[in-house]
Amino acid sequence: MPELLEVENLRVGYTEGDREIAVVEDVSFTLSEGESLCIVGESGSGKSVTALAVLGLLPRPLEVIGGSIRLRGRELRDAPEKELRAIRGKDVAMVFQDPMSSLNPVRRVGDQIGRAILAHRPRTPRGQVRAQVEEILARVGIAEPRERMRSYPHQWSGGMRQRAVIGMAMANDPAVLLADEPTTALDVTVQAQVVQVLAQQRAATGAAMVMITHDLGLVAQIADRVAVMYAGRFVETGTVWDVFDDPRHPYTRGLLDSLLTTQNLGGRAYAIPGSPPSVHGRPDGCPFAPRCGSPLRTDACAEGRPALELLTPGHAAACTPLTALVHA
Amino acid sequence: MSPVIGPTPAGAQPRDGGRERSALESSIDAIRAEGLTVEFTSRRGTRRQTLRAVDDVDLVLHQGETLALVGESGCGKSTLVRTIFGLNPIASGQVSVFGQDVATATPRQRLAMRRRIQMVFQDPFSSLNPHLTAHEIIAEPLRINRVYSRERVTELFEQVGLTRDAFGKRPAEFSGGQRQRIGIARALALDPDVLVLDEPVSALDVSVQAQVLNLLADLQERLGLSYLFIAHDLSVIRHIATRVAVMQRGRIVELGTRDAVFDSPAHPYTSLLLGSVPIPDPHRRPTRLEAAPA
Repeated sequence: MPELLEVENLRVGYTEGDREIAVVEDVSFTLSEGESLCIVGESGSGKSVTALAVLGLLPRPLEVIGGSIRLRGRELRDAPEKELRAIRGKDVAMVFQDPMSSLNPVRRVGDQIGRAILAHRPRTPRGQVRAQVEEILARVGIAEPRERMRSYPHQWSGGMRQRAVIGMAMANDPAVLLADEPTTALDVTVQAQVVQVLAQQRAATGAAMVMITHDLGLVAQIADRVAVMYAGRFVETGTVWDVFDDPRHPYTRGLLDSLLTTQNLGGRAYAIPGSPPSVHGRPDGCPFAPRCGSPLRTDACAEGRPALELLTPGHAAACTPLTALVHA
Repeated sequence: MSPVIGPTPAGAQPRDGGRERSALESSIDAIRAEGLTVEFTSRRGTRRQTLRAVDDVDLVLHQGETLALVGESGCGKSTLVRTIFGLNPIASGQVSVFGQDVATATPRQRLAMRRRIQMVFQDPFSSLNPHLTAHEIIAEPLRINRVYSRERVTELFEQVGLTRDAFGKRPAEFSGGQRQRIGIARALALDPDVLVLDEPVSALDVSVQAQVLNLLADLQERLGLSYLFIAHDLSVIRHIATRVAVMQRGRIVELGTRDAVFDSPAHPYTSLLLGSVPIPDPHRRPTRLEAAPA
């Protein structure tokens, strides 16, 4: 039985003259039914591009250059647009950071959710669509859904809009939900509510989720498995316990160390020196080598790209000296 | 937020980084708001609606401290800041900067005041002129005040941890963290006493946030600055603040030392804020899964 979602050696990039510039390189992961995978990374690390590639929604000039994306064994890479349209919203749905960009400002919220239903079940009678929209809104915690579905997006608060977008994404009971920073644009108290709505919806439908975020707090709260992304590659993958209790890659360690905790109040926080490389300036060797403070670091780190290798079953890191040490 | 409150001209001579203050001067509050109320009136047909954006706020920024102002979007933080800079009409109450009432200040006094209090903006991508080089951006307030010298610009670059080879580069060539350093250097150019920092690290990558927070802590120590620090990220506030003011619907609902506010919050809204922050430890997951009302 094939996995729900399998991404293998995904490579996304664009060509500049006769040069190929890769934004995402060698990304592989699998997602099982009902599982939640968090992809953590900083801006420009390629995490959003990875999600868009899955749905065939890459903005020009980005394109999938290599690798494979399979949904229940079916290849999605280079699948015809018609086939992708049938999958988007039905098998794989997406929630974006800014709910306003997912909603049409001149259409009533209820109509938009109704359209999501009709897109995949075009012969649903009107009355039934309306009843379903009302039910969806009630499920994501919108009070008085029957009246509220007649509102326009601008009449709703940011948190309500994101609830509506989540409701819309879940309208066709997708097997996979891709959530790209779904709470980043919201206030903290609203963030907590939206995270809860997401969790409830997943619990009710059994949908698997790939959540993209830079918020390690959120990852710790909702992930089953975690992939840490840096400069277009996965540098560490494992269960949430592996990654938080026993981080192995120097970048993951640095990220966790730079969390502001109550231990270093008022003092100086640990900071990873330097800043992430731009897409154009990614170094030849390990992309983290110029910022790496690991005692294992050698001159060889600036040469070949380290591959993601298993350290223990299910826990992998892309750090050449670390792998050498573990397998010695 | 309007760019008007960036570096502004002033008539007085430069203070050459000298920070000698008389005893009287150093006992004055950097910012003092008393019963401050700001209202906006909107008209819909013949109906008038008054929105009280800042409601009877008492707030003091002592010299040398970091006062954090926390609250969610729309709570009135930005309106309060704009009012401190004299950009909003005051409905009642008053606000003073180093003892100078903002509402009654003459234009000349207002200019002098604005040299002492400077602003650092949230988004280092939109708050720097993309056409200017880093050197020009930092030199601009000095030139306007006719106190420009290459040495001063170099000194400012060094203070924020930028090297001289960054002089000729334009904002697009810098990373987010470096851009925020340029924004901080520009704010420091006229040797202010107070920095108003509006979400200074929230647009930055996690691994870079700590660098900028450390820089701000160093600068405060070295230059004796006072910070009014606006943020929504409670872990950042807990790290940097001396005192914390929690704002909700235009009012300050809780004000206290950092430890008092974080360890024993008195107002239910503060507790709600604190309880909403996800803890970066998978061993401390909440188990609640009940319905979340909007």
